[in-house]
Amino acid sequence: MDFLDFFNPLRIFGETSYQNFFQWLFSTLFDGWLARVLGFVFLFFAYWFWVRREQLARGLWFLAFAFLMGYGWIIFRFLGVAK
Amino acid sequence: MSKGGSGSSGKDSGIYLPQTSEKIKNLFDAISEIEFYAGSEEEGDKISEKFFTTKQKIQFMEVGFKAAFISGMITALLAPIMVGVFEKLIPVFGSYNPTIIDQIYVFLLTIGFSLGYGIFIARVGKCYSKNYSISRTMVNNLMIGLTAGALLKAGFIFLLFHFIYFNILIPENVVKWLVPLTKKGFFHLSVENAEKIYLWIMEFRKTFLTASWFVVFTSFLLIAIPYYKILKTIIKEKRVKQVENL
Repeated sequence: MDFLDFFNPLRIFGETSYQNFFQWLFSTLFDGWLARVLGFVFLFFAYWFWVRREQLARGLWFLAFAFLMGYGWIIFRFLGVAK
Repeated sequence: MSKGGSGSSGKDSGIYLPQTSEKIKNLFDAISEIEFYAGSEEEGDKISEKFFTTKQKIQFMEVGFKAAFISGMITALLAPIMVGVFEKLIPVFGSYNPTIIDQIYVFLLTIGFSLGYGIFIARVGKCYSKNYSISRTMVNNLMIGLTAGALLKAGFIFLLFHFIYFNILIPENVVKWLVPLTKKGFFHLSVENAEKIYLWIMEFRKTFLTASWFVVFTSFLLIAIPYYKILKTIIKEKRVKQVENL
């Protein structure tokens, strides 16, 4: 178990600061201009790989990221990660 | 694609034909093949459509069908969410009041694949010349598959979304699901929250009707773009011929 403790983030950060970090991450990454920029970038690559290069798997990955950028806020809020 | 020994359409015109028939796996292969044959026919004589085997015909139809069906499914899945965003029922980028940029983003995320495929497939339109034989047949087969896929998908989604609206998400059903959840205290669901969820579902179910018609529109768009390009090539050729005859 000592080995697994190495991966426990709460060993380094306090529970509150760890939670605050994620709150900050979700409030900046999924809510604001950064989300919009990343969303459009992912969407472009989704089209590029899927439609232009016909690489369905990569296209779907980028589409999933683009979807996450757009709707990530409500998904994580629903899951209780972000408030 | 190998461009081995020379073959011809009956005459000794020295046109290079592909010797092996590699499997057409995707749209990219199909369009490349059409462009290659169109290029050969532009440089030399018509290549008999007999070289376009039954197996290849099926493969071209299959590729067109798959392209229409898969891109349409993504549009179909995202369409109710898009309508939900426009109706301010679902937030995008953390906001229930989407800006014009947000609306463009959601619209592109939903319609983009049908539009992208349509524009990409429209490239074959320029290969639909009267002077070509095999290229025209290839384009015809691809378009048959594409049209069949788009129509089938549109019909299926139209019926499914109407079924959801008229039979699944009806008030009686939603109450039937929510009451036991509230009684058993699942997800710590209070009566007030259950009421909110009920009202939200009642608003959201309406999006399925709009979404179903939207999917029909995108399916039409997917097939209309390549057909428009084909028609443009035909008209352009007719005009050139008329000028030549003068």
